[in-house]
Amino acid sequence: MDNFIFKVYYLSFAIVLAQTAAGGVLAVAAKNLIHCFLGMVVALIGVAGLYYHLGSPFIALMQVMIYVGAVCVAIAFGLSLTRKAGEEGLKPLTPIALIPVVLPAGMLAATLKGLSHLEKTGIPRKLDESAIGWHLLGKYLFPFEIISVLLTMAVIGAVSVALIRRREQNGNI
Amino acid sequence: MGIFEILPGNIAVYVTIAHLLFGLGLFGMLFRRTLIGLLISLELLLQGVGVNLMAFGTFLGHDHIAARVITLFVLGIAAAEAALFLGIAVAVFRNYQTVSIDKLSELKG
Repeated sequence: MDNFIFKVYYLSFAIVLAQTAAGGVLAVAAKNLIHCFLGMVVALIGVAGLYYHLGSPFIALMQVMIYVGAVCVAIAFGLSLTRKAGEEGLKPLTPIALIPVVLPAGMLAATLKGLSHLEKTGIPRKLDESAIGWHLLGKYLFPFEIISVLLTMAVIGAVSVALIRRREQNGNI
Repeated sequence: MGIFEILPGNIAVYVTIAHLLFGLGLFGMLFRRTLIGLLISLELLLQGVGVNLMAFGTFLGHDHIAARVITLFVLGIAAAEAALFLGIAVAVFRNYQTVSIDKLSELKG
C-alpha cells in the first residue's frame, strides 16, 4: 500500500513538471492569443503544484487564488477588450532568439555547477506555516506595509489610466 | 519507475524548470506581437523567479519561512504590475485602436 502511495506521489510530480513545461511552451509559442492564455493558466497551475511539492501548501493556495483566480480573469478581460484580428502570433525569428536560449542555459549551468558539490536532495519537510503570518507582522512589517501601499496605488493608477479618454470626452478632466 | 523516483526532492529539477520558465518568458517578451502576449510572457518569467526562490529557500536556506514570505511578496508585486499593465493596455487600445507593439512607434527615435 505504501509503495502504491509513493508511486502516485512520484507520478504526480512528473505530471506537474510536464504540465508546467507544456503550458509554458504553449503560452509563448501559440499563434492564437486565447491558446496562449490557456497555456499560461495550465503553467500557473503547474507552478502551484511545484510549490506544493516544495512543502508549502499555503503558497500553492495563494498562487491559485492570486494568479489563476484574479490575474487570469483580469488578463482574460484585457484580452477581450484589446483583441484585433491579424495582430497576433510571433515575429519572424531572428538571431536575437539566441538570447533567451543562451542566457538561461548559461545561468542554469552556473547554478548547477555551484550546486554540484552540495548534496542537497531529500523530500522537503512540512513546516508550520502559521509562522508566515507572524513574520509578516514582525520582521517583515515594513515591506508588507509598503506592498499594501503599492497595491493600492497600482489599482488606483490602473483605473485612472484606463479611464483617461473617457474623462477627456466628458470634458471635465 | 527509476527516473520518476529521483525527480521530487531534488533541487536541480526545480532549478531547471525555473530556468525553463524564465527562458520561455524571455523568448515571449522578445517575439510576441501584442501587449497582452508580452504580459503573459512576463508572468511566466516572474513565475520562474518565484520557483527558483522557493527551491533555494527550501533546500539551502536556514530560514525556510523567509523564502515563503519573499515569494509571497513577489506574487503580490506581480499582481499589482499585471493590473497596471492591463490598465495601460486598455488605455493604449482606446487611443490608438491597436496593441500591436510594431505599430506603437510614436516614441521611436
